[in-house]
Amino acid sequence: MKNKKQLVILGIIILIYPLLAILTYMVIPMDEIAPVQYNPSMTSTIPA
Amino acid sequence: MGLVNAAIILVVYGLLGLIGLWTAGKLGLPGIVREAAGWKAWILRPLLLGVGTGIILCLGDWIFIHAGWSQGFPHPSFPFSLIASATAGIGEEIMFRSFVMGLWAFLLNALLKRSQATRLALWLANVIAALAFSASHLPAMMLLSGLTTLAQISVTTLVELFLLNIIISLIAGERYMRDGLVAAIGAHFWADIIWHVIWPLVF
Repeated sequence: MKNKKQLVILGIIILIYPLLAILTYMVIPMDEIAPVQYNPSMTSTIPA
Repeated sequence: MGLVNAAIILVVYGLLGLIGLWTAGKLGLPGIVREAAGWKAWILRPLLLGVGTGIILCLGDWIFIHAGWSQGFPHPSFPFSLIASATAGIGEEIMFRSFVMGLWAFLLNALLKRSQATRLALWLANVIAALAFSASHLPAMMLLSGLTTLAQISVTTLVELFLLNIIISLIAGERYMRDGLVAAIGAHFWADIIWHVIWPLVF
């Protein structure tokens, strides 16, 4: 019984997730993401 | 195309969640929810911890920006940031807490079984999941910042990215151990609300 309840809640979470993911991709165009203007002087010192 | 993606997400994350539920059972963790707990453990504590963590992330970001070590990170614009916070909270917690942390804790616990070190295995797995969680944010950060190689990211920006993500990850991991996946999702969601929704509006 305990496992059944856990599975039901997991099922609900896993059903909500793809719906939210679709909504995200549908309603968030890439240009709606606030871009960070990168300053070249901040670029790195990590060896390639 | 959207439906195909949804079906793939459903199957992949469904499997990850089931594996997480199985490892949680083996480790004596609550799994999805700690049933003996009430709404305080499922809703209130994740909310308070998430808000507190979100404030710490914002303060950390502020320090890095004002010290000239970083230029901050890209955030989705409002109100899309609300949906992005919910999506990230659910997806990343299933992936990194339920699956990655659960599987590593299970393997480490099997290795350390003789010394009965389940607690140690869980915290080691929490740290491993936190590092994986932080690294998983690199591609999105590079994409949104218009960077193409790792070498273009400054060391201090990398330090900030790992530091802030490790903080939220360890706290979500602690919630996962104590009260289950729903509590971890809650803490992550509320931290993201402060970090991705409130912080870009006020800063």
